[in-house]
Amino acid sequence: MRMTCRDIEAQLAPFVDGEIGEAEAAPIAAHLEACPTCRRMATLERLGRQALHDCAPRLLARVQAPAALRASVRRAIPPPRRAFRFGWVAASAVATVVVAFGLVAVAGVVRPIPVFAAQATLDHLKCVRLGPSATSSDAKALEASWRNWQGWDLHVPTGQQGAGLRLLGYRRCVITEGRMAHLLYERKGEIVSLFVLPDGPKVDHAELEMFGQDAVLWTSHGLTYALVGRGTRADMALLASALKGELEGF
Amino acid sequence: MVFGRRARFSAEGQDAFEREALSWIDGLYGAALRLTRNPADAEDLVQETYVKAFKSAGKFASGTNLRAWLFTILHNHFLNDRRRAKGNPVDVNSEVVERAAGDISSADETAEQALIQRASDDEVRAALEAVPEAFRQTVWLRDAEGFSYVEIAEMLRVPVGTVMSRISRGRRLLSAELAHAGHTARKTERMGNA
Repeated sequence: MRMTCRDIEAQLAPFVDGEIGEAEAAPIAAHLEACPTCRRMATLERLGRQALHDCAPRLLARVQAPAALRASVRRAIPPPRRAFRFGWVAASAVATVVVAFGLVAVAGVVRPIPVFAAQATLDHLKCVRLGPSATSSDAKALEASWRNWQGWDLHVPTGQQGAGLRLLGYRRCVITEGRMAHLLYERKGEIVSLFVLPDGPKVDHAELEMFGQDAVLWTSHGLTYALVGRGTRADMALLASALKGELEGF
Repeated sequence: MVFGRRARFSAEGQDAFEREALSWIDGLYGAALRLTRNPADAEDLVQETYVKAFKSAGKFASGTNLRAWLFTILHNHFLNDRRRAKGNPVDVNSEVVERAAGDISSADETAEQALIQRASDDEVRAALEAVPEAFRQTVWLRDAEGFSYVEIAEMLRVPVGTVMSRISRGRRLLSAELAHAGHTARKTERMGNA
């Protein structure tokens, strides 16, 4: 196809930059060969490009941000608990890392309590929106369904003995392959999670606050529990002791 | 606190993001100076750019060009500010450009070429200043900063085709300015010698 001078002008920049294929470049080159006006245009474009290319590194090196600006930008960096403040994408990235560590904990290599608490908290944050995958308010039915699915005995507290929780069901977590159970309860419109880890880190009682949530951890009958929700620390400790009481009765 | 160590661990990616973002501060300040032409406004623009970047770090796709992303935030912020202040987008007076580009006489191409190639850093900088803003910014982003057409289109919020044609004309205008300045300087020199 024969090219007009107007066609050439539109493609001159990628042609001069060598950013078009040979097939597209050939008719442009042929036109430039035949048309002195366009040829001159291309020459001027090459010269301007080269002139700026040559001196740009030195011109760029002349400009430095003032020290005061540097300092004030540094101050704009969000404070340490930024993983959560950076939003859900960052939080799930953190969750993935922590879950990877959690799996190591499950496998029995390391069993640090904070890692389990962090994993539980992030799973809670991630999964409360999704709701339970097995829905039932019947603790016995959930236990049977869990045994059927995972092959290990999960004691499901009803949450009604002094805790004032309403049982919603459990979630199947693909990442932990069912080695950790996630029970969901409702209390005053908020979701509270109870994580159960067989062969987890042994802990008499621990309270941690992370990512704006409160977690209470304890071990009962060889299973490690983490209760995670948003409330005051004392409030969560109270809920935990009610659940602990119910579990002791099993 | 027990969790402290782990919190730092999980924030490592974030730290790397911040470190790299901060490493581009000189370039961003230079870009802000070119846009605002005023050190105080340039500092504000850079500060706002980083605040926005840190806030929306989650939206940044890691593995992509962080520098281009920061430049886009900076340019978009500037365009929004200016639009607010002026109430309308910037127009390019293409007639002025056509005229300027047509001014170059092709009488002595070899001499002209030599003038352009011999230009000092300051002469190039001065010539670029004489190029209308829309073309100057586009050419600078391409030939000095080395961004792709698509990246520039996102920064300036114009179609890629417009970016390419502005680059092409901007380069020619720069050449014309250099040739013109060189020619004038040579004439002055000759007059001085006489």
